[in-house]
Amino acid sequence: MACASAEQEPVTRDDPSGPLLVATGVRKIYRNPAGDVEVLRGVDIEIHSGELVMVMGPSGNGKTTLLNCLSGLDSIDAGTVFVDGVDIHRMSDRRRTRMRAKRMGFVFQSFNLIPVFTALENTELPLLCVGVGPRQARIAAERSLERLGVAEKMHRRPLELSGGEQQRVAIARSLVTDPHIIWADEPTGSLDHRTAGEVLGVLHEVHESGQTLVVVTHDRAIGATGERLIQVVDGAVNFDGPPEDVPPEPELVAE
Amino acid sequence: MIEIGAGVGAAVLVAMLAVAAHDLIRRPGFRRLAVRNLARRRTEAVLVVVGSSLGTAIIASAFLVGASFHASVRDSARTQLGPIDETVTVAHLDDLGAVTEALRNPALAHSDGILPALQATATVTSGGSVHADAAARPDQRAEPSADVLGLDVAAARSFGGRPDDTGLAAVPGRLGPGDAVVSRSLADSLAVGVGEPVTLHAYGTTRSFEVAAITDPVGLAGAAEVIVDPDALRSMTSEGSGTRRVVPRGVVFVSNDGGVFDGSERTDHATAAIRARLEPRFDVEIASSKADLLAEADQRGRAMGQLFTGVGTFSVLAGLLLLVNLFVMLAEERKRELGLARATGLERWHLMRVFSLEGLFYAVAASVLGCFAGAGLAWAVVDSASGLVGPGAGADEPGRAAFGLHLVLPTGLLITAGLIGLGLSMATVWITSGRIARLDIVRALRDLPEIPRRHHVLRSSGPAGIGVAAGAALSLWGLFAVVPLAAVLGPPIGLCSAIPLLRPIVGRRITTTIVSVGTLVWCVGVFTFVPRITDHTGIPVYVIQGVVMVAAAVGLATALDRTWLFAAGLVTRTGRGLAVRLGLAYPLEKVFRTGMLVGMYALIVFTLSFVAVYGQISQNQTATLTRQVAAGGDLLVDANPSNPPSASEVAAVPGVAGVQTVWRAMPRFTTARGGDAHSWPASGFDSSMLTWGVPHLTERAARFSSDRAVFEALVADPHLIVVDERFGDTNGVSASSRGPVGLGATVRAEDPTSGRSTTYRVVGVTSKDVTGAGSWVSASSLRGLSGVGAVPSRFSVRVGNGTNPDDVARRLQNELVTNGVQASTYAAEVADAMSVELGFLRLMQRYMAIGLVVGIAGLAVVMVRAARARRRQVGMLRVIGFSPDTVRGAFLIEATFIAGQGIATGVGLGLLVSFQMLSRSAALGGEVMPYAVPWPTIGLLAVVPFVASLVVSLVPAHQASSVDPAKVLRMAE
Repeated sequence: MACASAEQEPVTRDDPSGPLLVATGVRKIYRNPAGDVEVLRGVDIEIHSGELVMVMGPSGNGKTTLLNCLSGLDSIDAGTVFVDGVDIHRMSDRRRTRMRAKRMGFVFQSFNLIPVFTALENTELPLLCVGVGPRQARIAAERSLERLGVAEKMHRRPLELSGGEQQRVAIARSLVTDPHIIWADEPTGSLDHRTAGEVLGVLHEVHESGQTLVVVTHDRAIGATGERLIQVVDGAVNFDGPPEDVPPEPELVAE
Repeated sequence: MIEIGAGVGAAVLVAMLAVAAHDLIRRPGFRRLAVRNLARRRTEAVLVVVGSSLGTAIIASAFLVGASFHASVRDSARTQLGPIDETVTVAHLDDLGAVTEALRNPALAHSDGILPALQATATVTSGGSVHADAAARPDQRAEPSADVLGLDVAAARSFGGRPDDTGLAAVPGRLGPGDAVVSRSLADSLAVGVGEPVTLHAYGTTRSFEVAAITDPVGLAGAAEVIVDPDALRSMTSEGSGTRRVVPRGVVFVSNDGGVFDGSERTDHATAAIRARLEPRFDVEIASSKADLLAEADQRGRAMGQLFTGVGTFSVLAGLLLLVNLFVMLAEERKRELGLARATGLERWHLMRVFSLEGLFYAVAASVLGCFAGAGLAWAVVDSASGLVGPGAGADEPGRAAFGLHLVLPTGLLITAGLIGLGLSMATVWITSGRIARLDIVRALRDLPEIPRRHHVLRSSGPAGIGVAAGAALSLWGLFAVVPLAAVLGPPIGLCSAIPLLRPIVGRRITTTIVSVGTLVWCVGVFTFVPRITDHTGIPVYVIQGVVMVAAAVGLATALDRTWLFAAGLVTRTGRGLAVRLGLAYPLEKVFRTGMLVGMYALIVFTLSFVAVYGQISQNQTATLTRQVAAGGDLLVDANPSNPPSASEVAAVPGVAGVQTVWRAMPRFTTARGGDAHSWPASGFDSSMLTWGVPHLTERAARFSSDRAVFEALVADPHLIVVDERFGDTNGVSASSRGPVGLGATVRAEDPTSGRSTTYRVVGVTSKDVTGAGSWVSASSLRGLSGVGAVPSRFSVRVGNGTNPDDVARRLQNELVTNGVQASTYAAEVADAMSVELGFLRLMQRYMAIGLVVGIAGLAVVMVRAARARRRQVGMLRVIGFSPDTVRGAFLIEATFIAGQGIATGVGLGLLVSFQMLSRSAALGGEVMPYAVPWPTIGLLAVVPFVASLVVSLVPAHQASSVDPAKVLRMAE
């Protein structure tokens, strides 16, 4: 009953030294009794190692769904998503889970820490999951928490921490496996301005250390701090380029 | 006291229902909230109702079992007595006519019938004659000992004024000298019909009768298996040879005004009037037959009701714990909702009422369902128990009559059980709601855990100090006045009272550890620390001790969370270890919920283990008991006392190597303390019995060095007696509960027929009188007391070397069929007696096992709710790399951890407490039994609930592992 185990041979791309992530023609349809809703309409994206990518767009236009599909959390209806040269949607769930555990980190708006574990235990979970020994896992978790500035509160439960501290622990948890890419979905959405700024600063520090980061946000100010901005409107990529070149859109301005 | 408690309980229930009714009608907001929550989770609502209904089911079934015993014994008044209210037994048969006349003229006040009759016992065979060669009568059937009534049937029909009540209404005309009325059970057993012959063997003679009618067991027809003309019976006595035997008894039945049941209300007046009229002139014994039987019905019904209620208490308790758990979980799920309700103006009192209104719906449904389930359960119990108390069961037990057990379903009792179940559920819901309503609004809105309330040390130190002092006082009283219950409970009460004082100083975990360990150490060691209290400790004290230990063990288990986490940390190297860690984290975090569940399991498994060990040890006694009872013999041979064979006739049967004769009589005993005289069997022996061996004594007077010396003294001194431990036990009330009839006591014995009496001093006590010996005196003493009433109708037989005792027993029965001989090995007698006891134990175990169903249902509900409540967390775990298998494994580990803790605690304490009880003498009437653990049963007790817990957790575990992480996280965001 390991966290995940090898099951089937993944489909690989010819050029493994290329972009970290290549998504082509990604489509996602939510099927409802009231009617199907196409949330992603043939998205093509490439993400290179070390990039800080901001994904922006109005609410309900498919930002989170895009993140879920690119990270393999959610299935897709058409297209391919290659991560490190492997098509993650052609993998079994077990293999995909294992890949997520080893190569990806996640940060969510509501932190999603496990309330019955301490900050330290939460942080070491991903390592234990990939089979790292408890001693090494603990050392790595402590380092990660130290890096995020919450080492002194490592033995506290999530509910004994402030929102900012919880998000720092969540980021520490996402970093602890030294992932190839970190997905952050509205990481500052639940925080006040000052704390949001602090967390954003932490994310930038993480990026500056060479980490690839994909941040979903609806906050234009945050979006502007990235190197690259992808604008998603109605399930399609409306813009992909430097933040300063993004065309002013009424909806976005209003937001 | 019970009435006051019931009154208070009823008042509280009415108050709770009044508030609920008010809210239901006048508070649409409350009603909407309560109903909406019910409708929102229908499956869980059904689970809650089913789980909660078990408590009511247990209460209802206990009531119904008690009522069924009561009604069944009471029904014996109709089936075995009919119009008979009093029975006058004449000492001299020749007085029968004069006594009858004295009662008839002038007519007794409030009496509607006087009926003389002869009572006898005879062997009855089918067919007109018995072949001397057993092989020549393969189809002939025999009833070795049948009750025979010599009765004027025509007069009997009008006895009491209601022919239907006599059971003889359908019997035609008068009985001729060759006619017999046979009971349906005997006719079936002999395979005879109307017009066919049967043969009676009694008083050394044989006479054939033609079956004139077959009757159902009602009234006079139910009082005997054969009814013949009294002159025919009388003539058999005169025809017989001069062998020593019981002669027919002359009796006069008296019927009081009124029906079968209400006639007994006049029994005091009637008995006084009969006594006034007869006693100056005649030697008679007057018995209030009907009133005594109805009193027995009341006593047995009450005893069985209390027994099953007592046994079921653990399950009811488990059901209440389940209810508490469920409501605490409901509150946790709706924390934000509740916080919002409070923030928008709902007072605490209102919140309690909303919850209690929701609880009312559950409780009402559970009570109704519980009543139906209780009826089913009672049916199962009665069905199982009927084989244990029905005809043939425990027939050798003095003071106990077999009766036909049947289920009754009194509506009033079902409603009472339903209301008690409702009241308990409602009270539990109210108390739990009170706890829930004390939430912190802000923390609830932010979904933060409640901060443990700070207890004012000064404010709580007063009551705590009083509690500690009370515990200490109780302990001292228990130890110095030798009151075991006080000695056992005193220190735990003191320790628990000290909790508010200790917690601010050393914290929750250490306080719980100190109190739990202290309680456990005291309960385990109390009988070692203070050995003298063991002589006064009964089984109930051991059970209470066990319950206290279960509570302490559960407390300790909750305080050991760090130990468990440490252990979990050690096995985290693999994916399985991770599941273990995750599986333990939640139950260790939710201390209250885990404690409740562990307590539910532990309580039930504790009682089941305890009973299992007791049963095993009883079973192990079979060989020893057989040796002790047999006293050197192989077969116990009982003959019809009206026609016993001689010892030489018994010895002449092939395979018999030796015979000892035992004289039997039924004197009436009175203790030196006075009180009513009671009939009890007496067995007389002579010195020849001593050559084989003597029955085992559990107690003997100090001056005797051995059991044998006691029996030698009995032969030498006609005023010494050995009694069994239940000497004088009538209607299930043992003599010892009325005061000891132990060593050194003086008892007066009187022969009811001759009126002769003698005084005996008790010099020995036997236990487990499986052969129904009753009491032992010398044969000469018994013959001197009872005269012709002392009959040599019992024999102890030795079989030749290499001969199969069972073959010899069969041969004895075949060849001495006309003497009504019944022969069986001592081992079979003991096994029969044990099978009744073990049957009851198994019945108790099955009944108690219902509590396990409550526990398992509780766990299922908790796991289903946990799977739902943790969807987002599981989603996150899946995101960071947990496989579905790990999540599923964690859920299963969580369930089995809880069940395993409860089972281990229950089994451990069950074995420990039973060891303590069985290794000490007082609880089991002075017997020290070798301890033995029934490992297969204990294994089943551990494995079955464990596996069942695992199985019921599979569905929630699968649901949890199947969550779509993207979906649940998106919903959460």
